Amino acid sequence: MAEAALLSVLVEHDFSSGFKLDVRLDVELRPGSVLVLFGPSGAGKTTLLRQIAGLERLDLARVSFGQEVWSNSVRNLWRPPQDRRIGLVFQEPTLFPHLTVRDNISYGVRPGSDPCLTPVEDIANMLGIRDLNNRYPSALSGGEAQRVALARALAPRPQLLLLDEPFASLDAPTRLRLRREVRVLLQTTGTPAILVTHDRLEALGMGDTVAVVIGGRVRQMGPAAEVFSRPADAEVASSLGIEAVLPAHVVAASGGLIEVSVNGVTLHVAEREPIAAGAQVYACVRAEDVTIETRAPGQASARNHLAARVVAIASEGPIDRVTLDCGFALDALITRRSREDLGLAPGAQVAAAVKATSIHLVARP
Amino acid sequence: MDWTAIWLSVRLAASTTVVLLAIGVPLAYWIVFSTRRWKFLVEAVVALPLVLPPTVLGFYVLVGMGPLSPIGRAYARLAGHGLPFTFEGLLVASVLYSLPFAVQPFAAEFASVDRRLLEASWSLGVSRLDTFRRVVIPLSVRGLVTGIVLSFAHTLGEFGVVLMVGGNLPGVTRTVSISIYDAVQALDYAAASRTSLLLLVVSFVILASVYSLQRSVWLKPRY
Repeated sequence: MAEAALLSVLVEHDFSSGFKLDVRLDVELRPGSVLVLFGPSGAGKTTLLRQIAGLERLDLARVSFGQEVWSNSVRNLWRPPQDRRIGLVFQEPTLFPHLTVRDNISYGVRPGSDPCLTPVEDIANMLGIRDLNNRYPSALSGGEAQRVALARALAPRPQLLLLDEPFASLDAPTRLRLRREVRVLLQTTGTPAILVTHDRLEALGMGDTVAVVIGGRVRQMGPAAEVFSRPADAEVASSLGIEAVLPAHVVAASGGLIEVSVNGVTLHVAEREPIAAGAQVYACVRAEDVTIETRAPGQASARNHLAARVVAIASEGPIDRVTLDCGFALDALITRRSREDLGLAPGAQVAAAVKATSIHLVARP
Repeated sequence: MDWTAIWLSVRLAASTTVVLLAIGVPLAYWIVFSTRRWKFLVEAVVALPLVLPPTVLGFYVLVGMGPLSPIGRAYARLAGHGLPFTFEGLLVASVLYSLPFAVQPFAAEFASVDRRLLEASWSLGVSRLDTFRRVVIPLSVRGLVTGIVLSFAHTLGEFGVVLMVGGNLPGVTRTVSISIYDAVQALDYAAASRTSLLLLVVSFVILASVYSLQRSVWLKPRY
Protein backbone atom coordinates (compact mmCIF):
# COMPACT_ATOMS: atom_id res chain seq x y z
CA MET A 1 0.00 0.00 0.00
CA ALA A 2 1.61 3.24 -1.09
CA GLU A 3 -1.08 5.88 -0.74
CA ALA A 4 -2.73 7.54 2.18
CA ALA A 5 -6.23 6.26 2.93
CA LEU A 6 -9.05 8.26 4.44
CA LEU A 7 -10.62 6.74 7.52
CA SER A 8 -14.09 8.12 8.05
CA VAL A 9 -16.11 7.17 11.12
CA LEU A 10 -19.50 8.36 12.25
CA VAL A 11 -21.00 6.61 15.27
CA GLU A 12 -23.95 7.54 17.45
CA HIS A 13 -25.15 5.09 20.06
CA ASP A 14 -26.94 5.30 23.40
CA PHE A 15 -25.80 2.50 25.65
CA SER A 16 -28.13 1.04 28.27
CA SER A 17 -25.64 2.24 30.90
CA GLY A 18 -26.51 5.84 29.96
CA PHE A 19 -23.19 6.32 28.17
CA LYS A 20 -23.52 8.03 24.82
CA LEU A 21 -21.00 7.58 22.03
CA ASP A 22 -21.09 10.37 19.49
CA VAL A 23 -18.03 10.35 17.26
CA ARG A 24 -17.27 11.97 13.95
CA LEU A 25 -13.76 11.28 12.78
CA ASP A 26 -12.19 11.90 9.37
CA VAL A 27 -8.49 11.31 9.23
CA GLU A 28 -5.95 10.68 6.52
CA LEU A 29 -3.79 7.66 7.38
CA ARG A 30 -0.47 7.55 5.57
CA PRO A 31 1.39 4.23 5.26
CA GLY A 32 3.24 3.57 8.51
CA SER A 33 1.59 6.45 10.38
CA VAL A 34 -0.16 6.12 13.73
CA LEU A 35 -3.43 7.67 14.86
CA VAL A 36 -3.66 7.72 18.65
CA LEU A 37 -7.03 7.60 20.39
CA PHE A 38 -6.13 9.18 23.69
CA GLY A 39 -8.34 9.69 26.70
CA PRO A 40 -9.22 8.59 30.22
CA SER A 41 -10.56 5.07 30.75
CA GLY A 42 -14.28 4.75 30.08
CA ALA A 43 -14.18 7.50 27.46
CA GLY A 44 -15.28 5.16 24.66
CA LYS A 45 -11.91 4.62 22.96
CA THR A 46 -12.14 0.83 22.92
CA THR A 47 -15.79 0.87 21.83
CA LEU A 48 -14.77 3.09 18.94
CA LEU A 49 -11.93 0.75 18.00
CA ARG A 50 -14.27 -2.27 18.11
CA GLN A 51 -16.63 -0.40 15.83
CA ILE A 52 -13.82 0.13 13.32
CA ALA A 53 -12.85 -3.55 13.65
CA GLY A 54 -16.44 -4.63 13.00
CA LEU A 55 -16.82 -6.56 16.26
CA GLU A 56 -20.01 -4.76 17.28
CA ARG A 57 -23.01 -3.40 15.44
CA LEU A 58 -24.42 -0.18 16.83
CA ASP A 59 -27.59 1.83 16.10
CA LEU A 60 -26.13 4.44 13.83
CA ALA A 61 -22.74 3.81 12.37
CA ARG A 62 -20.94 4.60 9.17
CA VAL A 63 -17.33 3.48 8.75
CA SER A 64 -15.31 3.67 5.58
CA PHE A 65 -11.63 3.16 4.88
CA GLY A 66 -10.08 4.25 1.60
CA GLN A 67 -12.41 3.13 -1.17
CA GLU A 68 -14.15 0.53 1.02
CA VAL A 69 -17.40 1.07 2.91
CA TRP A 70 -17.14 -1.08 6.04
CA SER A 71 -20.51 -0.32 7.53
CA ASN A 72 -23.47 1.89 6.92
CA SER A 73 -26.43 1.35 9.21
CA VAL A 74 -28.71 3.55 7.10
CA ARG A 75 -28.15 1.46 3.98
CA ASN A 76 -27.97 -1.68 6.14
CA LEU A 77 -24.46 -2.39 4.89
CA TRP A 78 -22.17 -4.49 7.03
CA ARG A 79 -18.79 -5.90 6.20
CA PRO A 80 -17.81 -8.53 8.81
CA PRO A 81 -14.37 -8.26 10.45
CA GLN A 82 -13.15 -11.12 8.24
CA ASP A 83 -13.47 -8.95 5.13
CA ARG A 84 -11.91 -5.75 6.51
CA ARG A 85 -8.27 -6.94 6.31
CA ILE A 86 -7.38 -5.56 9.71
CA GLY A 87 -4.92 -6.65 12.37
CA LEU A 88 -6.06 -6.59 15.97
CA VAL A 89 -3.94 -6.61 19.13
CA PHE A 90 -5.53 -6.56 22.59
CA GLN A 91 -4.11 -5.45 25.92
CA GLU A 92 -3.62 -9.10 26.89
CA PRO A 93 -1.81 -11.20 24.26
CA THR A 94 -4.80 -13.61 23.68
CA LEU A 95 -2.80 -16.17 21.72
CA PHE A 96 -4.40 -19.47 20.72
CA PRO A 97 -3.22 -21.65 23.63
CA HIS A 98 -3.39 -24.91 21.68
CA LEU A 99 -1.10 -23.71 18.88
CA THR A 100 2.66 -23.19 18.83
CA VAL A 101 4.14 -19.74 18.27
CA ARG A 102 4.72 -20.57 14.61
CA ASP A 103 1.13 -21.76 14.10
CA ASN A 104 -0.18 -18.71 15.94
CA ILE A 105 1.74 -16.35 13.66
CA SER A 106 0.72 -18.07 10.45
CA TYR A 107 -2.90 -18.61 11.61
CA GLY A 108 -4.38 -15.90 9.39
CA VAL A 109 -2.03 -16.32 6.42
CA ARG A 110 -3.75 -17.88 3.44
CA PRO A 111 -1.63 -20.34 1.49
CA GLY A 112 -0.56 -18.91 -1.85
CA SER A 113 -0.66 -15.25 -0.77
CA ASP A 114 1.49 -12.64 -2.53
CA PRO A 115 5.17 -13.64 -2.16
CA CYS A 116 6.38 -10.05 -2.78
CA LEU A 117 5.08 -8.94 0.62
CA THR A 118 7.23 -9.04 3.74
CA PRO A 119 7.43 -12.76 4.58
CA VAL A 120 6.21 -14.05 7.91
CA GLU A 121 9.80 -14.96 8.88
CA ASP A 122 10.92 -11.36 8.41
CA ILE A 123 8.23 -10.05 10.71
CA ALA A 124 9.16 -12.67 13.30
CA ASN A 125 12.83 -11.68 12.88
CA MET A 126 12.14 -7.99 13.32
CA LEU A 127 10.27 -8.71 16.54
CA GLY A 128 13.07 -11.02 17.73
CA ILE A 129 10.83 -14.05 18.26
CA ARG A 130 12.17 -16.48 15.67
CA ASP A 131 13.69 -18.71 18.33
CA LEU A 132 10.32 -19.17 20.01
CA ASN A 133 8.72 -20.93 17.03
CA ASN A 134 8.03 -24.28 18.68
CA ARG A 135 6.94 -23.02 22.08
CA TYR A 136 3.39 -22.92 23.35
CA PRO A 137 1.97 -19.59 24.57
CA SER A 138 1.93 -20.74 28.20
CA ALA A 139 5.75 -20.90 28.08
CA LEU A 140 6.16 -17.25 27.00
CA SER A 141 6.78 -14.12 29.06
CA GLY A 142 4.31 -11.24 28.76
CA GLY A 143 6.58 -9.31 26.42
CA GLU A 144 7.26 -12.34 24.22
CA ALA A 145 3.56 -13.19 24.02
CA GLN A 146 2.66 -9.65 23.00
CA ARG A 147 5.37 -9.76 20.30
CA VAL A 148 3.83 -12.96 18.96
CA ALA A 149 0.38 -11.32 19.02
CA LEU A 150 1.79 -8.41 16.99
CA ALA A 151 3.46 -10.76 14.52
CA ARG A 152 0.21 -12.73 14.19
CA ALA A 153 -1.75 -9.54 13.45
CA LEU A 154 0.81 -8.31 10.88
CA ALA A 155 1.50 -11.63 9.14
CA PRO A 156 -1.57 -11.59 6.82
CA ARG A 157 -0.55 -8.06 5.73
CA PRO A 158 -3.52 -6.07 7.07
CA GLN A 159 -4.35 -2.73 5.50
CA LEU A 160 -4.90 -1.27 8.99
CA LEU A 161 -3.56 -2.34 12.38
CA LEU A 162 -5.74 -1.76 15.46
CA LEU A 163 -3.91 -1.68 18.80
CA ASP A 164 -5.95 -1.61 22.02
CA GLU A 165 -3.50 -0.57 24.77
CA PRO A 166 -1.08 -3.31 23.65
CA PHE A 167 1.74 -2.17 25.92
CA ALA A 168 -0.28 -1.48 29.07
CA SER A 169 0.26 -4.84 30.76
CA LEU A 170 4.03 -4.93 30.16
CA ASP A 171 6.80 -3.86 32.52
CA ALA A 172 8.36 -0.45 31.82
CA PRO A 173 11.62 -1.43 30.04
CA THR A 174 9.81 -3.96 27.81
CA ARG A 175 7.12 -1.39 27.06
CA LEU A 176 9.64 1.23 25.92
CA ARG A 177 11.55 -1.25 23.75
CA LEU A 178 8.42 -2.69 22.16
CA ARG A 179 7.03 0.77 21.36
CA ARG A 180 10.17 1.59 19.39
CA GLU A 181 10.10 -1.74 17.59
CA VAL A 182 6.46 -1.35 16.64
CA ARG A 183 7.15 2.10 15.14
CA VAL A 184 9.92 0.62 13.01
CA LEU A 185 7.80 -2.36 12.04
CA LEU A 186 4.92 -0.14 10.91
CA GLN A 187 7.30 1.98 8.83
CA THR A 188 8.94 -1.07 7.26
CA THR A 189 5.69 -2.76 6.37
CA GLY A 190 3.96 0.51 5.47
CA THR A 191 0.99 -0.38 7.68
CA PRO A 192 -1.04 2.48 9.17
CA ALA A 193 -2.25 1.92 12.73
CA ILE A 194 -4.75 3.15 15.28
CA LEU A 195 -3.50 2.99 18.86
CA VAL A 196 -5.75 3.28 21.90
CA THR A 197 -3.94 4.50 24.99
CA HIS A 198 -4.35 6.54 28.17
CA ASP A 199 -0.58 6.94 28.58
CA ARG A 200 0.44 10.46 27.52
CA LEU A 201 4.09 9.57 26.89
CA GLU A 202 2.93 6.73 24.67
CA ALA A 203 0.59 9.05 22.78
CA LEU A 204 3.47 11.51 22.23
CA GLY A 205 6.04 8.86 21.37
CA MET A 206 3.85 6.83 19.01
CA GLY A 207 1.30 9.19 17.53
CA ASP A 208 1.57 11.20 14.33
CA THR A 209 -1.98 12.36 14.92
CA VAL A 210 -3.70 12.39 18.29
CA ALA A 211 -7.46 12.37 18.79
CA VAL A 212 -8.52 13.18 22.35
CA VAL A 213 -11.62 11.16 23.32
CA ILE A 214 -13.53 12.29 26.40
CA GLY A 215 -17.07 11.24 27.36
CA GLY A 216 -17.74 9.46 24.08
CA ARG A 217 -16.73 12.39 21.87
CA VAL A 218 -13.60 13.38 19.97
CA ARG A 219 -12.77 16.69 21.62
CA GLN A 220 -9.64 17.60 19.73
CA MET A 221 -7.57 16.16 16.95
CA GLY A 222 -4.29 17.21 15.37
CA PRO A 223 -0.54 16.61 15.28
CA ALA A 224 0.66 15.20 18.61
CA ALA A 225 2.81 18.17 19.65
CA GLU A 226 0.08 20.65 18.81
CA VAL A 227 -2.64 18.81 20.74
CA PHE A 228 -0.46 18.50 23.83
CA SER A 229 0.83 22.07 23.67
CA ARG A 230 -2.44 23.75 22.83
CA PRO A 231 -5.38 21.86 24.37
CA ALA A 232 -8.69 23.09 22.96
CA ASP A 233 -10.32 23.63 26.36
CA ALA A 234 -9.83 23.10 30.08
CA GLU A 235 -11.27 19.58 30.11
CA VAL A 236 -8.95 18.44 27.34
CA ALA A 237 -6.06 20.17 29.08
CA SER A 238 -6.72 18.40 32.38
CA SER A 239 -6.86 15.00 30.68
CA LEU A 240 -3.62 15.70 28.83
CA GLY A 241 -1.77 17.26 31.76
CA ILE A 242 -0.77 20.89 31.39
CA GLU A 243 2.60 20.80 29.81
CA ALA A 244 4.62 22.50 27.12
CA VAL A 245 5.65 20.04 24.42
CA LEU A 246 8.62 21.52 22.56
CA PRO A 247 10.04 19.95 19.39
CA ALA A 248 13.81 19.76 19.98
CA HIS A 249 16.92 17.97 18.85
CA VAL A 250 19.73 16.57 20.95
CA VAL A 251 22.98 18.57 20.58
CA ALA A 252 25.21 16.67 22.98
CA ALA A 253 25.02 14.14 25.77
CA SER A 254 27.70 13.74 28.43
CA GLY A 255 28.10 13.25 32.16
CA GLY A 256 24.45 12.40 32.72
CA LEU A 257 23.37 15.72 31.22
CA ILE A 258 21.77 16.10 27.81
CA GLU A 259 21.93 19.33 25.89
CA VAL A 260 18.97 19.94 23.57
CA SER A 261 18.18 22.83 21.30
CA VAL A 262 14.65 24.24 21.11
CA ASN A 263 14.30 26.89 18.41
CA GLY A 264 18.00 27.79 18.92
CA VAL A 265 17.65 28.02 22.70
CA THR A 266 19.70 25.49 24.68
CA LEU A 267 18.16 23.47 27.50
CA HIS A 268 19.95 21.09 29.86
CA VAL A 269 18.13 17.90 30.72
CA ALA A 270 18.98 15.18 33.21
CA GLU A 271 19.60 11.88 31.46
CA ARG A 272 17.02 9.16 32.24
CA GLU A 273 17.69 6.82 29.37
CA PRO A 274 20.58 6.90 26.88
CA ILE A 275 19.83 9.09 23.90
CA ALA A 276 22.16 9.86 20.98
CA ALA A 277 23.21 13.30 19.77
CA GLY A 278 21.19 14.32 16.73
CA ALA A 279 18.02 12.53 17.89
CA GLN A 280 14.69 14.29 17.34
CA VAL A 281 12.77 14.60 20.58
CA TYR A 282 9.99 16.43 22.39
CA ALA A 283 11.08 18.33 25.49
CA CYS A 284 8.14 18.35 27.93
CA VAL A 285 7.93 20.96 30.68
CA ARG A 286 5.07 21.25 33.18
CA ALA A 287 3.95 24.80 33.89
CA GLU A 288 4.18 24.23 37.67
CA ASP A 289 7.89 23.37 37.27
CA VAL A 290 8.74 26.75 35.74
CA THR A 291 9.76 29.49 38.19
CA ILE A 292 10.17 33.17 37.38
CA GLU A 293 13.09 35.31 38.54
CA THR A 294 13.42 39.07 38.14
CA ARG A 295 17.06 39.50 39.32
CA ALA A 296 19.97 37.33 38.32
CA PRO A 297 20.22 34.79 41.18
CA GLY A 298 23.52 33.91 42.83
CA GLN A 299 24.02 30.17 42.95
CA ALA A 300 20.81 28.24 42.34
CA SER A 301 20.37 24.54 41.59
CA ALA A 302 18.21 25.02 38.49
CA ARG A 303 20.36 24.32 35.41
CA ASN A 304 18.29 26.40 33.02
CA HIS A 305 17.86 30.15 33.29
CA LEU A 306 16.26 31.51 30.16
CA ALA A 307 15.89 35.17 29.27
CA ALA A 308 12.17 35.70 28.76
CA ARG A 309 9.52 38.31 28.18
CA VAL A 310 6.10 38.17 29.83
CA VAL A 311 3.50 37.86 27.07
CA ALA A 312 0.29 37.47 29.03
CA ILE A 313 -1.03 36.80 32.51
CA ALA A 314 -4.27 34.90 33.09
CA SER A 315 -5.80 34.40 36.49
CA GLU A 316 -6.90 30.86 37.48
CA GLY A 317 -8.22 31.53 40.98
CA PRO A 318 -5.35 31.91 43.47
CA ILE A 319 -2.94 30.74 40.75
CA ASP A 320 -1.82 32.88 37.83
CA ARG A 321 -0.76 31.44 34.51
CA VAL A 322 2.09 33.52 33.09
CA THR A 323 2.84 32.99 29.42
CA LEU A 324 6.49 33.66 28.60
CA ASP A 325 8.37 34.05 25.35
CA CYS A 326 11.88 32.58 25.70
CA GLY A 327 12.38 32.04 21.99
CA PHE A 328 9.50 29.56 22.30
CA ALA A 329 6.28 29.79 24.27
CA LEU A 330 6.43 28.52 27.86
CA ASP A 331 3.81 28.77 30.61
CA ALA A 332 4.59 29.21 34.30
CA LEU A 333 2.10 28.66 37.13
CA ILE A 334 2.75 30.95 40.10
CA THR A 335 0.66 32.17 43.01
CA ARG A 336 -1.01 35.55 42.74
CA ARG A 337 1.04 36.71 45.77
CA SER A 338 4.32 35.92 43.99
CA ARG A 339 3.12 37.69 40.89
CA GLU A 340 2.25 40.78 42.94
CA ASP A 341 5.56 40.66 44.91
CA LEU A 342 7.53 40.43 41.66
CA GLY A 343 5.38 43.16 40.09
CA LEU A 344 4.96 41.17 36.90
CA ALA A 345 3.14 42.73 33.96
CA PRO A 346 3.01 41.97 30.26
CA GLY A 347 6.19 43.17 28.55
CA ALA A 348 8.43 42.70 31.63
CA GLN A 349 11.88 41.15 31.08
CA VAL A 350 12.46 38.21 33.44
CA ALA A 351 14.31 34.91 33.66
CA ALA A 352 12.55 31.53 33.54
CA ALA A 353 14.20 28.86 35.65
CA VAL A 354 13.67 25.14 35.02
CA LYS A 355 15.50 22.30 36.77
CA ALA A 356 17.18 19.79 34.47
CA THR A 357 15.25 17.02 36.24
CA SER A 358 11.90 18.70 35.47
CA ILE A 359 12.31 18.33 31.73
CA HIS A 360 11.24 15.04 30.14
CA LEU A 361 12.44 13.96 26.73
CA VAL A 362 10.27 11.79 24.51
CA ALA A 363 11.60 10.40 21.24
CA ARG A 364 9.70 11.91 18.33
CA PRO A 365 8.03 9.48 15.90
CA MET B 1 -25.35 -63.92 31.50
CA ASP B 2 -27.54 -62.55 28.72
CA TRP B 3 -24.77 -61.67 26.23
CA THR B 4 -27.28 -60.91 23.46
CA ALA B 5 -28.81 -58.20 25.63
CA ILE B 6 -25.40 -56.82 26.64
CA TRP B 7 -24.24 -56.67 23.03
CA LEU B 8 -27.50 -54.97 22.02
CA SER B 9 -27.11 -52.36 24.78
CA VAL B 10 -23.52 -51.62 23.74
CA ARG B 11 -24.59 -51.28 20.08
CA LEU B 12 -27.48 -49.00 21.04
CA ALA B 13 -25.28 -46.84 23.31
CA ALA B 14 -22.55 -46.53 20.66
CA SER B 15 -25.02 -45.63 17.88
CA THR B 16 -26.80 -43.13 20.12
CA THR B 17 -23.48 -41.49 21.01
CA VAL B 18 -22.48 -41.16 17.36
CA VAL B 19 -25.83 -39.59 16.46
CA LEU B 20 -25.65 -37.28 19.47
CA LEU B 21 -22.18 -36.13 18.51
CA ALA B 22 -23.44 -35.33 15.01
CA ILE B 23 -26.48 -33.34 16.12
CA GLY B 24 -25.30 -32.24 19.59
CA VAL B 25 -22.27 -30.26 18.44
CA PRO B 26 -24.19 -28.03 15.98
CA LEU B 27 -27.05 -27.68 18.49
CA ALA B 28 -24.68 -26.66 21.30
CA TYR B 29 -22.92 -24.25 18.93
CA TRP B 30 -26.26 -22.65 18.09
CA ILE B 31 -27.28 -22.40 21.76
CA VAL B 32 -23.99 -20.72 22.69
CA PHE B 33 -23.50 -18.36 19.75
CA SER B 34 -27.02 -17.52 18.55
CA THR B 35 -28.36 -14.10 19.44
CA ARG B 36 -32.03 -15.14 19.02
CA ARG B 37 -34.24 -14.05 21.86
CA TRP B 38 -36.21 -17.29 22.02
CA LYS B 39 -33.20 -19.56 22.30
CA PHE B 40 -34.05 -20.18 25.98
CA LEU B 41 -37.03 -22.21 24.68
CA VAL B 42 -34.67 -24.51 22.80
CA GLU B 43 -32.47 -24.82 25.88
CA ALA B 44 -35.54 -25.80 27.94
CA VAL B 45 -36.63 -28.43 25.40
CA VAL B 46 -33.12 -29.92 25.34
CA ALA B 47 -33.14 -30.15 29.15
CA LEU B 48 -36.64 -31.72 29.37
CA PRO B 49 -35.44 -35.36 29.50
CA LEU B 50 -33.63 -34.52 32.74
CA VAL B 51 -36.90 -33.97 34.58
CA LEU B 52 -39.56 -35.90 32.63
CA PRO B 53 -40.34 -39.49 33.72
CA PRO B 54 -39.02 -41.84 31.02
CA THR B 55 -42.56 -43.20 30.64
CA VAL B 56 -43.87 -39.79 29.59
CA LEU B 57 -41.10 -39.27 27.08
CA GLY B 58 -41.50 -42.86 25.88
CA PHE B 59 -45.26 -42.44 25.51
CA TYR B 60 -44.93 -39.40 23.26
CA VAL B 61 -42.17 -40.99 21.21
CA LEU B 62 -44.28 -44.11 20.79
CA VAL B 63 -47.31 -42.11 19.65
CA GLY B 64 -45.11 -39.88 17.46
CA MET B 65 -43.59 -42.90 15.71
CA GLY B 66 -46.81 -44.88 15.43
CA PRO B 67 -49.02 -45.38 12.37
CA LEU B 68 -51.34 -42.57 13.54
CA SER B 69 -48.68 -39.85 13.14
CA PRO B 70 -47.46 -38.44 9.79
CA ILE B 71 -43.83 -39.10 10.77
CA GLY B 72 -44.58 -42.73 11.59
CA ARG B 73 -46.51 -43.23 8.35
CA ALA B 74 -43.76 -41.58 6.25
CA TYR B 75 -41.12 -43.80 7.84
CA ALA B 76 -43.21 -46.91 7.35
CA ARG B 77 -43.67 -46.10 3.67
CA LEU B 78 -39.92 -45.58 3.17
CA ALA B 79 -38.59 -48.46 5.27
CA GLY B 80 -41.33 -50.98 4.74
CA HIS B 81 -41.98 -51.37 8.48
CA GLY B 82 -42.91 -49.11 11.40
CA LEU B 83 -40.51 -47.60 13.97
CA PRO B 84 -41.92 -48.91 17.27
CA PHE B 85 -40.48 -52.18 18.55
CA THR B 86 -37.42 -51.95 16.24
CA PHE B 87 -33.76 -51.08 16.89
CA GLU B 88 -34.14 -47.84 14.84
CA GLY B 89 -37.12 -46.77 16.95
CA LEU B 90 -35.10 -47.44 20.09
CA LEU B 91 -32.27 -45.35 18.66
CA VAL B 92 -34.57 -42.37 18.04
CA ALA B 93 -35.93 -42.58 21.58
CA SER B 94 -32.45 -42.94 23.11
CA VAL B 95 -31.13 -39.93 21.22
CA LEU B 96 -33.96 -37.77 22.55
CA TYR B 97 -33.61 -39.19 26.04
CA SER B 98 -29.82 -38.59 26.25
CA LEU B 99 -29.80 -35.24 24.43
CA PRO B 100 -29.04 -33.07 27.49
CA PHE B 101 -26.21 -35.36 28.57
CA ALA B 102 -24.38 -34.51 25.33
CA VAL B 103 -25.53 -30.97 24.57
CA GLN B 104 -25.05 -29.47 28.04
CA PRO B 105 -21.36 -30.42 28.50
CA PHE B 106 -20.66 -29.40 24.89
CA ALA B 107 -22.35 -26.01 25.32
CA ALA B 108 -20.72 -25.32 28.69
CA GLU B 109 -17.26 -25.94 27.22
CA PHE B 110 -17.91 -23.89 24.06
CA ALA B 111 -19.13 -20.99 26.20
CA SER B 112 -15.99 -21.08 28.34
CA VAL B 113 -13.70 -20.33 25.38
CA ASP B 114 -12.37 -16.76 25.72
CA ARG B 115 -14.41 -14.59 23.37
CA ARG B 116 -11.37 -12.49 22.49
CA LEU B 117 -9.80 -15.58 20.91
CA LEU B 118 -12.78 -15.75 18.56
CA GLU B 119 -12.54 -12.05 17.78
CA ALA B 120 -8.81 -12.38 17.12
CA SER B 121 -9.55 -15.22 14.72
CA TRP B 122 -12.30 -13.30 12.90
CA SER B 123 -10.07 -10.25 12.52
CA LEU B 124 -7.45 -12.53 10.94
CA GLY B 125 -9.92 -13.25 8.15
CA VAL B 126 -11.07 -16.67 9.37
CA SER B 127 -14.81 -17.36 9.01
CA ARG B 128 -17.04 -18.15 11.97
CA LEU B 129 -17.34 -21.81 10.99
CA ASP B 130 -13.58 -22.20 10.49
CA THR B 131 -12.97 -20.39 13.78
CA PHE B 132 -15.24 -22.94 15.46
CA ARG B 133 -13.31 -25.78 13.83
CA ARG B 134 -9.81 -24.38 14.42
CA VAL B 135 -10.21 -22.73 17.84
CA VAL B 136 -13.39 -23.71 19.69
CA ILE B 137 -13.33 -27.47 19.04
CA PRO B 138 -9.64 -27.99 19.96
CA LEU B 139 -10.14 -25.99 23.17
CA SER B 140 -13.30 -27.98 24.04
CA VAL B 141 -11.87 -31.51 23.96
CA ARG B 142 -12.67 -32.18 27.60
CA GLY B 143 -16.28 -31.07 27.28
CA LEU B 144 -16.69 -33.15 24.14
CA VAL B 145 -15.28 -36.27 25.78
CA THR B 146 -17.42 -35.72 28.88
CA GLY B 147 -20.56 -35.39 26.73
CA ILE B 148 -19.72 -38.49 24.71
CA VAL B 149 -19.00 -40.64 27.75
CA LEU B 150 -22.07 -39.46 29.65
CA SER B 151 -24.43 -40.11 26.74
CA PHE B 152 -22.93 -43.57 26.27
CA ALA B 153 -23.29 -44.43 29.95
CA HIS B 154 -26.77 -42.95 30.20
CA THR B 155 -28.02 -44.93 27.19
CA LEU B 156 -26.44 -48.11 28.52
CA GLY B 157 -28.57 -47.91 31.65
CA GLU B 158 -31.90 -46.68 30.30
CA PHE B 159 -35.02 -48.67 31.09
CA GLY B 160 -38.34 -46.85 31.00
CA VAL B 161 -38.08 -45.40 27.52
CA VAL B 162 -36.91 -48.73 26.08
CA LEU B 163 -39.80 -50.53 27.68
CA MET B 164 -42.31 -48.03 26.29
CA VAL B 165 -40.92 -47.82 22.76
CA GLY B 166 -39.10 -51.09 22.21
CA GLY B 167 -40.87 -53.68 24.24
CA ASN B 168 -38.92 -56.83 24.96
CA LEU B 169 -37.80 -58.61 21.76
CA PRO B 170 -34.59 -60.64 22.26
CA GLY B 171 -31.75 -59.36 20.06
CA VAL B 172 -33.85 -56.47 18.81
CA THR B 173 -35.02 -54.42 21.77
CA ARG B 174 -34.23 -56.40 24.90
CA THR B 175 -31.43 -54.33 26.50
CA VAL B 176 -29.42 -55.15 29.63
CA SER B 177 -31.71 -53.37 32.04
CA ILE B 178 -34.77 -55.18 30.65
CA SER B 179 -32.96 -58.46 30.78
CA ILE B 180 -32.31 -57.86 34.50
CA TYR B 181 -35.96 -57.00 35.04
CA ASP B 182 -36.96 -60.21 33.24
CA ALA B 183 -34.56 -62.26 35.32
CA VAL B 184 -36.04 -60.87 38.54
CA GLN B 185 -39.59 -61.50 37.29
CA ALA B 186 -38.55 -65.09 36.62
CA LEU B 187 -37.02 -65.27 40.15
CA ASP B 188 -33.60 -65.98 38.56
CA TYR B 189 -31.73 -63.84 41.12
CA ALA B 190 -28.34 -65.31 40.22
CA ALA B 191 -28.58 -64.09 36.60
CA ALA B 192 -29.97 -60.72 37.71
CA SER B 193 -27.13 -60.13 40.16
CA ARG B 194 -24.44 -61.11 37.62
CA THR B 195 -25.75 -58.69 35.03
CA SER B 196 -26.43 -55.99 37.61
CA LEU B 197 -22.89 -56.24 38.93
CA LEU B 198 -21.52 -55.94 35.41
CA LEU B 199 -23.61 -52.83 34.74
CA LEU B 200 -22.60 -51.33 38.10
CA VAL B 201 -18.88 -51.88 37.48
CA VAL B 202 -19.01 -50.57 33.92
CA SER B 203 -20.96 -47.47 34.97
CA PHE B 204 -18.57 -46.78 37.82
CA VAL B 205 -15.52 -47.13 35.59
CA ILE B 206 -17.04 -44.79 33.01
CA LEU B 207 -17.97 -42.12 35.55
CA ALA B 208 -14.62 -42.37 37.32
CA SER B 209 -12.88 -41.81 34.00
CA VAL B 210 -15.05 -38.75 33.30
CA TYR B 211 -14.21 -37.18 36.65
CA SER B 212 -10.52 -37.97 36.38
CA LEU B 213 -10.60 -36.41 32.93
CA GLN B 214 -12.20 -33.26 34.28
CA ARG B 215 -9.45 -33.02 36.85
CA SER B 216 -7.04 -33.77 34.01
CA VAL B 217 -5.35 -36.53 35.96
CA TRP B 218 -4.73 -38.47 32.77
CA LEU B 219 -5.29 -36.11 29.90
CA LYS B 220 -3.09 -33.13 30.72
CA PRO B 221 -3.17 -30.59 27.89
CA ARG B 222 0.18 -29.60 26.44
CA TYR B 223 -0.64 -25.94 26.84
